[in-house]
Amino acid sequence: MENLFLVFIALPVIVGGAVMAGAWLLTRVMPGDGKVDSATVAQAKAAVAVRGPEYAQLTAKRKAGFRTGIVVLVGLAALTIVEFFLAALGSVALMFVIIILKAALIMYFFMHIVNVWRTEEAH
Amino acid sequence: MTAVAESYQVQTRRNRMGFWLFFLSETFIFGGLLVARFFLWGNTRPSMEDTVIGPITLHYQIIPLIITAVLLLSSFFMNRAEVAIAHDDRKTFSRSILLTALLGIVFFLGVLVFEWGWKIVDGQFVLGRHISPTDGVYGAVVYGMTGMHALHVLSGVVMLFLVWNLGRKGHFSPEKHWGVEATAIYWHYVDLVWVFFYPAIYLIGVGVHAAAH
Repeated sequence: MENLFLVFIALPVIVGGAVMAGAWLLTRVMPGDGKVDSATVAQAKAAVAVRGPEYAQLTAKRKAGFRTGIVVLVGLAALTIVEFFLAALGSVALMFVIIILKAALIMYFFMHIVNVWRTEEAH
Repeated sequence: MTAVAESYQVQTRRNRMGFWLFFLSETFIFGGLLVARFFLWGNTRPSMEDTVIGPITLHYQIIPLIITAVLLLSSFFMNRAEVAIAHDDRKTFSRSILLTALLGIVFFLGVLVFEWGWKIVDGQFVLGRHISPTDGVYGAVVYGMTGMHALHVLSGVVMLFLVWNLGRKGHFSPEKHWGVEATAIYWHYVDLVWVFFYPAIYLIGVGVHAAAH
């Protein structure tokens, strides 16, 4: 029981604590994430209201981004359901195809893997 | 483009490359666990118990399917948060980040409570509703894979709260939001790992009683 306590409680707490400390440190050194004063925040909020056409374009792009997210989610959900029923048929080969498809959807649309070798900023 | 904005973009590209190299190293860990599963289990998997919640009895594969759906949904909201901050929509960003964290916690508790069967009996933590970690290769692999993944979910939730808090304070902008992007990529990576782990643990192979091995 002592070993179980060590493996499943003490170790996760220690590792989790280290991860939290690491994440906190990470946020302190992230580029562009320095302290922002209230005047800058107010200026940024005010800019949204007066942007006009530029803001309208930004809104349209945002909505398109949301739509893409919904389509990918529906695709992933459908593939997961197919995968679940394929398991009953015991078709491992087809399941692997579905796993690869799901992974490709996540890496391309959610993780934006193409940005790694893209020289221009995507967004 | 100003020199400052350009230097930020260059730095972000470097960060991105470093982050993907980190994921490559993570892949060796998760890949090792996946190889262990196929090497030790072959074309079998442990037969698990059905879940009884009050008057309802759920087939043992329903809970993993539900928690998989929860994780997929959390990935959708994470993507929504990233799109929102990239297009100056702070309200949607905040709500989506919190929803992602909430769904992550639901997934984490789903694994701990329903799959691990973690409960307190006579003042001691007891594990093993389906099988215990000491039930041979089946127990070792189930707890190794789900445990390592759950730990990543937990650290992801911590990062989500940190990013949400920074966003709340007015950090990040459409031009500068690497913190959000990094957290999003990390969260999607956790989802990606589960895409491989879920069928490997629960779907592939013939169910056998772990106690017999």
